[in-house]
Amino acid sequence: MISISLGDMDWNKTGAWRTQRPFYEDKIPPCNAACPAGNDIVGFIQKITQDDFEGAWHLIKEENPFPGICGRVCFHPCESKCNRGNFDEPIAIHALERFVADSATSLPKKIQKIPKERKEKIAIIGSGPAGMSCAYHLAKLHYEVTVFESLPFAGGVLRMGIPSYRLPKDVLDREISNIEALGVEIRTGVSIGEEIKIEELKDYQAIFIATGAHRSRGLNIPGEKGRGTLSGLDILKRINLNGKVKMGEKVAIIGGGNTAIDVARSVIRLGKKATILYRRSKEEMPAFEDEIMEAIEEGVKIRYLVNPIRIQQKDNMKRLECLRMELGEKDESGRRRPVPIPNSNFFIEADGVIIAAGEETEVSFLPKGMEKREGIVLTQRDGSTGIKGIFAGGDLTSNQRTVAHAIGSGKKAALAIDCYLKGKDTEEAIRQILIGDGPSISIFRHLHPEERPMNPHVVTFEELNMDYFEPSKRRRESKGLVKERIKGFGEVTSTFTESIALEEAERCFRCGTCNECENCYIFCPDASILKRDEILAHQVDYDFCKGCGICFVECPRGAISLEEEAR
Amino acid sequence: MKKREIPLSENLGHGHLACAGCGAAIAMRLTLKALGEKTVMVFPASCWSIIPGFWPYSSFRMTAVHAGFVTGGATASGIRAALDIRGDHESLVAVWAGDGGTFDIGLQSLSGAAERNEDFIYICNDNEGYMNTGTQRSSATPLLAWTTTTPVQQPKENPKKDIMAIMADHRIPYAATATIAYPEDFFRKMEKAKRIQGTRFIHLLSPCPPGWRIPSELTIRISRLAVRSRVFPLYEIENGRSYTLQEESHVVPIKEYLKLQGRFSHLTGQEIERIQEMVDDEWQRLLRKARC
Amino acid sequence: MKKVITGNQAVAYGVILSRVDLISAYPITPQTTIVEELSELIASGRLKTKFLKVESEHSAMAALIGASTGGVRCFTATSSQGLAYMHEMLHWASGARLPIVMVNVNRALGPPWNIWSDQSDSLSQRDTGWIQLYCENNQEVLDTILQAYRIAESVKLPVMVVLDAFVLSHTSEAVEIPTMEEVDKFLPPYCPEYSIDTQEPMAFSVIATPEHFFEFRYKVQKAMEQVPGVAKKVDDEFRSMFGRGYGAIERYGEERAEVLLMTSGTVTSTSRIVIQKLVQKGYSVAGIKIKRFRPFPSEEIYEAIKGAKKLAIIDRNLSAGVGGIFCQELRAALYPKENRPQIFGFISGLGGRDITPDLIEEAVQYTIDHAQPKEEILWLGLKK
Repeated sequence: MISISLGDMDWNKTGAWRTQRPFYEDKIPPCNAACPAGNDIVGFIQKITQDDFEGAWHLIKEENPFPGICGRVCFHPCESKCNRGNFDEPIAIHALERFVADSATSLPKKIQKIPKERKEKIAIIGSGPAGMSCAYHLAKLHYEVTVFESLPFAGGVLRMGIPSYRLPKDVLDREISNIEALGVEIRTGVSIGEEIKIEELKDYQAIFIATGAHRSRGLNIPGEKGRGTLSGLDILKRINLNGKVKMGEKVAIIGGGNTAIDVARSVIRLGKKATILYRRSKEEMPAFEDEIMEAIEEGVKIRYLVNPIRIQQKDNMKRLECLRMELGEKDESGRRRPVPIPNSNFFIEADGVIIAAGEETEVSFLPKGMEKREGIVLTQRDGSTGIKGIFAGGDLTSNQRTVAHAIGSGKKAALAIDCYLKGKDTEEAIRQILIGDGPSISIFRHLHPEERPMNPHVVTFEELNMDYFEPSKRRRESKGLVKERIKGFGEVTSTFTESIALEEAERCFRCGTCNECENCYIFCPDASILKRDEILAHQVDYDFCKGCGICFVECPRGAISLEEEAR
Repeated sequence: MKKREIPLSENLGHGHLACAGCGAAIAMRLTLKALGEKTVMVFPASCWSIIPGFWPYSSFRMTAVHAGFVTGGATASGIRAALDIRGDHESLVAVWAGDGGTFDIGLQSLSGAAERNEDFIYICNDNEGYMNTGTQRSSATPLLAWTTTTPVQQPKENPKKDIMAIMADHRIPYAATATIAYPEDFFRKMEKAKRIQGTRFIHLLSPCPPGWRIPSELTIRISRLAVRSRVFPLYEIENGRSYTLQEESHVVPIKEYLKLQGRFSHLTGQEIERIQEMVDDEWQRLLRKARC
Repeated sequence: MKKVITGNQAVAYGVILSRVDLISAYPITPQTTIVEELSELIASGRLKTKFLKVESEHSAMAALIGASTGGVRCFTATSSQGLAYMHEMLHWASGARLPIVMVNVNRALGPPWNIWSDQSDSLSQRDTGWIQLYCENNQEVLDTILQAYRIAESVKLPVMVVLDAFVLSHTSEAVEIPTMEEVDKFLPPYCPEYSIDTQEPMAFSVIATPEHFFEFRYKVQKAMEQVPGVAKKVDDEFRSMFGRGYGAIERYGEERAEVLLMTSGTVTSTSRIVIQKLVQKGYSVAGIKIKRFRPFPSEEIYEAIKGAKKLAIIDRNLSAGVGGIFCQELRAALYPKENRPQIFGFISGLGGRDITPDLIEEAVQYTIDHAQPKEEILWLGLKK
């Protein structure tokens, strides 16, 4: 009788109005897609923000056994692809990975040995990052694994090629022993190819060869093979094994990669003078920028566009005849080719000359039937070679010679071996677990295909909404004072403190992953985003959602997708 | 990450008839969360004559009184008096009026109530036109905007009426601007308003997708750009005198705001410059007021 | 207690005695002394009523609509331009079924600008769903207000109590003012079935589609149809308690008269004298006072005019294009009946021109002398 309304409008299912529908869908962040080791970077950073450092550590270890190592030495392609780089500065992902690994050292839990359920045994030749990664994943797949290492200590290039001030030995030892604790056997001092031929490893149903590249590449110039001219890899190996090496006062180092820089900085720490001679300019130097900068801070001199063409002995000194260079057209590496300037010859004197111009593989011990080209062993995508049951990976099989690639290739080989031994299709298995477009894979998804579903689309910067972020400087690991640093081989940088790690982790956009910021819930005109209290997940109420798309636009991190409504 | 402090109660249900992406629906939902259940909301004629649904239903989950277009301030005055007479000093009286019901036809009623310092919170949901009746111009329509009564050949000839200045000159205890892209700011202002006695006025900008000719998903973005371009600055006025102006860190040129809206698509470069000058002028004026 | 008071003061007493909770009003001549009187009483503390001094008549009615929805007894007063301004809200009050009582002091609507007695203002609102009750003297004004609340709250429709500008509003007469205790026995407190209560949320006056609106209007009409019965009951009760009653109409003069004179408002006072004089002269005449205009007391009138051959009706109002409004309503009321008398529609006194006894007598004489009116509209007292 009086126009008073008592009922509500819940009967009016406005969901029928929709022409498009939103839904929550995690997508691949560019960092995950870029990581050759297949780390779930956004995942572990999210855990840091939730104060769950142990959870972050376990998450990294699902894919990569070496967070402490990678956090220190990886060339972090993730950071180059980080979407935050388009806004202010990329996230210091390596520093956060290192923080997680270092936090884990204070955990009371011990690592449990994994029971061997499979009857097959696998031999791994080489205890570098590729070999150890393969061993780790195979052990987790319940296989019995034996790693053969020719040197007295495990670690490969991690121990021999990288100086302690970049990767302390205790960190390396800890992460290797974490793998041994799972039940992996490492037999050091056993050289396959010399003492035991590969063909004799008949107890093993599969073999993974990851012997790396440890031979120094020569310059092919006269005088190179004289006394006092040393190889950079050798020098580093000696320093890493013994701690000391005899060398002259003024050392010239030829090369421009990380090895050259590592050698130069080691020379400084031994109290000598170091000058790097590089034939291109600073922009083309393949060494990490940070390393170059630290080297210069520590007193390493770098001379660019200089190419030695002859090494002569003059009394007790070496005399290098050099040509000045200029930059020409780009070569196949994408860098401008050095072109000698005629008649620009000049001389440099040094007590010692160290050649660090690249490394090559040793392939003589390999069984026949393995294809090689230009010093690289050729394999399929999954690491399988022409010989059934023999797989290869790491620096041996690729020109992309980074620790992260090696770890990734070891993981892939582990999967390939597992499929091979179970009679499954490796290619298919790999296809299912590529991160984004690949080439990295997630072994977690192989083991738990239903969990953490993700759309393989890699989130671009344009798909994010910058309205919700304020510029904030990238946090930097603190470095020791130069004069302290060069006194010895102690670690140069310090791990983030907890509060700095949290600040840096908060800067992460979390591309493609919902982190409950609740924009969608707040801005929905129809109250059609439901929050679930126990399980942290939002859900669209499709009875009432009108498909306006506001949630899609206002999601800062592209965790919501919009599709046409099928009618 | 810090979770936001948003009241959880949903006093505007779903199933209502607002267009997809309606800025007012977001605004109403947030307002009712802020006001709580012990609220009597008077709503003079506007889109909200239709949105909550038809008799015998209503998607409002608190007391709502639909009133004549003109009468927001007066009806609320009567209700407040009645509640006080009956001894209910706890329930809050609020008015939700559109820009038409505030700037134009409802101005007298609002002015009378403000002069008497009637005890209610008046929220003007400003979508810059008579949107319910099909996008005709109001005195809240911005300069040079298209509406059905200011077609492209003769777009709106006068600038937007400065309702905040009008309310300030009534010396009411509290007036503030707010918009839906800044929910925390809005909640803070509502909490503040709730603690004050007398007439409190909130000027709330709500983009209207059909009326502003914008796609439904850009409602929040445009509301944010309104603040960032300084065409709708966020500020508070206390007792008609002291201005608190919120400086926005990401200022953008007015072009960024205008170019997304179909109702401004006819503007020439010169006209955009003219609008930019006007916006800059207004900002300076507010700055001066804030400094006094 | 008898007092000599003006019509407006009588209104004020009516409001006090009705224990009105809330007044909301805007000043307009000749209503102003009502609100002044009430303000005085409230300010001095003798009247515990809230007074919202709104900024227009439209707002006055809007505020009362809000307050009545809030469950309190309300009152306002206005006149002519103000009443016209309120028009939109008058529809709202009846549509929302709110028992608001308003006093309207009959005054002409301009232009030309005019502040004197004229019924066109209240009658222009005859379609708004308000009950309309007209008063002849100040006593009736006070009494009608008391009765108005009873009727309004019973049928849930608003009531307009009407008195003439200046002739009543500003003219003093002796009025018997009942005591508060007496009135309390007659008029209980207001207890609405539905009102604002934030513990029980509801939405008031929302949109109703063609599916439902028709029935709401049907119910309003049904409520109006209850008014004659309810009003009679209330009037009888009033009469038994206070010794005064008014009925929807009142007949005076010769029992079986051939010629009847119908008037409303203060014109009735003057008409009584004229009819008495004519009866003494030997004419068969009688008078009918129409108190209730809306709903039009068709049945009561039909009963009262039985046997009459001619009926003169004086309208102090004009609906341009049709003539006097009372006349028009009368014609419509009598149309379905048998034995209809001839109707002589007179219009007089617009804009406050005095309706003198001579003029009234002229009208009655004309009616007696003519078998039927020579014109549709008979202009009484028009200057040539």
